[in-house]
Amino acid sequence: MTEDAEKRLLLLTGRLCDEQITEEEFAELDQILRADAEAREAYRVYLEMHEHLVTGALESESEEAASKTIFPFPITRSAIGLAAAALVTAGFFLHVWVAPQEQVAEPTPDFVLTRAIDVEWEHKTRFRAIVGEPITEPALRINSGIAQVQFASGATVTVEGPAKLRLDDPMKCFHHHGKLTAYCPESAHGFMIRFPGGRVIDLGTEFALNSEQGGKTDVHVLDGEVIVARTDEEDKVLRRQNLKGHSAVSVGEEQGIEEIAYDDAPFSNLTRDRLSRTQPIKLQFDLGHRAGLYRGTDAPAHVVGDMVSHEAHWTQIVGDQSGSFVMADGTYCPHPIEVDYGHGSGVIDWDAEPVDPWGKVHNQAKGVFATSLAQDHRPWDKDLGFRVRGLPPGTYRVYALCRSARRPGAFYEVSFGVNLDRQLAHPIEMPPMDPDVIPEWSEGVTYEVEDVEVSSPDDWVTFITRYSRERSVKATPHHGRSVLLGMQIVQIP
Amino acid sequence: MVSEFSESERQVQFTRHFAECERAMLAFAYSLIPNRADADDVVQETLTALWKHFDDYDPERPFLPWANRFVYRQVQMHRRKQATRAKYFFSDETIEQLAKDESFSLERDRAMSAALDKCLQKLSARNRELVEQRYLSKGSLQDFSEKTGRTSNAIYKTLQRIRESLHRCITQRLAREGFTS
Repeated sequence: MTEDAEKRLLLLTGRLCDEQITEEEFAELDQILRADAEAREAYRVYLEMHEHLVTGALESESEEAASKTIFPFPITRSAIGLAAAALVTAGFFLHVWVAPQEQVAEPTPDFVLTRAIDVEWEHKTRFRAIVGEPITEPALRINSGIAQVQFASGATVTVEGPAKLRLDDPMKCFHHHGKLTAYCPESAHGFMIRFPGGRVIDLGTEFALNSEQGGKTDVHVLDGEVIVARTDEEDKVLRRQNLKGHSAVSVGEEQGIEEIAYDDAPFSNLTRDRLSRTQPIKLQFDLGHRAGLYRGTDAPAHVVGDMVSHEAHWTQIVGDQSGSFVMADGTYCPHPIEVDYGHGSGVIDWDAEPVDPWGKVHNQAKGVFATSLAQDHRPWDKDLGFRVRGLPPGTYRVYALCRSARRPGAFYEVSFGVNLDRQLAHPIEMPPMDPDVIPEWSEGVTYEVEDVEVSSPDDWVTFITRYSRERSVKATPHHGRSVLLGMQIVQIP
Repeated sequence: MVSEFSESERQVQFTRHFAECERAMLAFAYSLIPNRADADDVVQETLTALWKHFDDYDPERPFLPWANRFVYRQVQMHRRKQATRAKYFFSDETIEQLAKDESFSLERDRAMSAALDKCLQKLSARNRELVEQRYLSKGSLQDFSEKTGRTSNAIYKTLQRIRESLHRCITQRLAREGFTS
C-alpha cells in the first residue's frame, strides 16, 4: 500500500469512527478493504486503537482521571439538554431521566448553607438561604435553631440561635453573638473567627465559642489547638496565647484573657458527631457500569429536590459490604449499614455473589466505574436484587437507577419493599426509553422511585428488577439484562 | 464435551473468559458492523450463544478465536434481521475478508494496550489534550473549538493527524513484537 493510499484509508477509518463518513466515502472504504489485505490489517489496528481509547486506555493512566466522567461517544451537549427539557415539560419527568452532562466546573461558592434545623431566621422575608445553596446575604442571623455554613476553604461553622455571624471571606468571619462550633480541616488551617474584643485562629480541628451580646466570649477547644487573641477597638492584638484541646478561656474587655473551666456541654447540639445523628439518612450507592454519568448531583433525587447540591458523595459498591458508610454529604452515617446483593430466577439467592471479573483485568473494564454488579454477564439469571439493612425506623424514599438507554422498547419489572425475596405479585413496570425523544447515544437511564417503610433496623430495604420478555418490544433482543446502576436512599422526615 | 465442573465453577470460568476478551470481541464486532450500539448488541447477543455452547469449548485452546466465530455469526444474523442502526454496511465479501484475516489473540490485545500506552505518552501535552477531549471528555469537539478559539475543522484535522501518528507508532510496535506484518 502506498503512503497516500494508507493516508486515505486512515482518514476514512477515522471518519467512520467519528460517524462522520458519507455514503460515497463508505463505499470507497468498502472497496479498499475488500481488495487489499494490508489495508484490512491497518484498518483493524486503527479500530482496535479506537476501541482501546473508547474503553479507557486514557483512564487507566492516572488516578486523577478516575474521577472524571467517562463518555464512550462524542456527545452533543445541547441536544441532550433539549431532550431533558422536553421530557420535563412533557411530564415524563418522573419516569425517564436523562443523564445530564457533567457541568462546567463552577467556582466553589464562598459560603454554602449546609444545614438548617428548626431555624427561625431573624428576617424571615429577607433571608432566603436554602440548604445546599450559596448564601448571598452578608450575615447569618437566626433567632433559634441550628444553621451550618460551609466555607469554601473547607471550614464548617455551626451556629445555634439566637446568633449572628457575619461572613467575610472563605477564611474569615465575625461572630457577633451566640453559640457556635467551628471545624477546620487541613485546608482551612488558619481560619479566623473574630468577635467583639478578640479573635480565634484555628491551628487544627474543632473549637467552640459562646459570645454574650456586648460582653465577653468564651472559647472552648474541643479538639486540636487554637490561638486566642485579645484585640482593641482598632483590631490591634493586645495579647495572645495558644490554647489546646479540652481547655477554655474567656475573652473580654475587663478581664483580658482569663482561663475558665472547660465545658463542652453547652455545645453538645453543635458537635459534628451529634449533628450526624440528628440529620436524615441519605445514602447513594454507585453500582458501576458507566456510573460516572450520574455521579455528582444531577441524579433523580437531586433533580426532584430530595438531595441538594453538596450531597455529592456516592459510595461505590462492588459486592456485599457492611460497616460504616459515608453519607451523601460526606459525613459518616452513624448507623452500621449492610449492603447485600443477590440474583436468581424467581427467588433471589442472597448468598449468590457477583463474580468480579474486573479485579485482574482492570484495563479491560469499561472505565474505572465498571463493576460486576452492573454488568450483564449473567445470562443464566433473570432477577437481580439489592438490599440494605441497618437503617433506623422511618420512611425512606428509594430511587433505583436502572437502565441505560441502549434498548428502546425494553420493559423492566421492578419491585420495592421490605424483606422481599422475589418480585411482588404486581411489580412496577418501568417504561422503555423513547427513541424519538432520546437519541440512541444519550446514555440516559430510566429510574423508579418508591417510599419504603422501615420498622426495625433488621428490615432489609429491598429492590428487585427483571427484564420483561413479555412486554418488551419484539425487536429487542430476547435475553434479559437486569441491571442496577445506582441507588439513592433518602430518609423522609 | 461433558464438563467436570459444577455449574457455578463454569459460570466463574465463563465470566472470566468473557471479561478478558470482551474488548477484543467488541473491536472485532465493530470492525464488521461499524456502529457502536450495534456492535454492543452483537456482543451481548453473542454472550448468550457462547454460554449456551460453553460445554463445547475446549479449555485447552484460546477462548477469543472461539468466541469471535460466534461474533461473526451474530454479525451476519444481525445484518439479516436488519435490526440495526448502522447507516451503511460493508459488502458480504468485505466482511468475509475482514473476518478471515483475523488472527485473534489475547496477547495481541494486550500488546495493543501496552503499545497504545507508550504511544500516548509520546504525544505533546497539547495533542494529548485533544485526544482526551475526543475520548474522555463530556464536551464535543465543537465545545472544544469554542473554548480554544480554533475552528472545529482545524481541530478535527489535527485529531485525524494525531490518530494517524498513534496508528503508525502502534503498528511499528506491534510489528516489532511479531503481531503484524
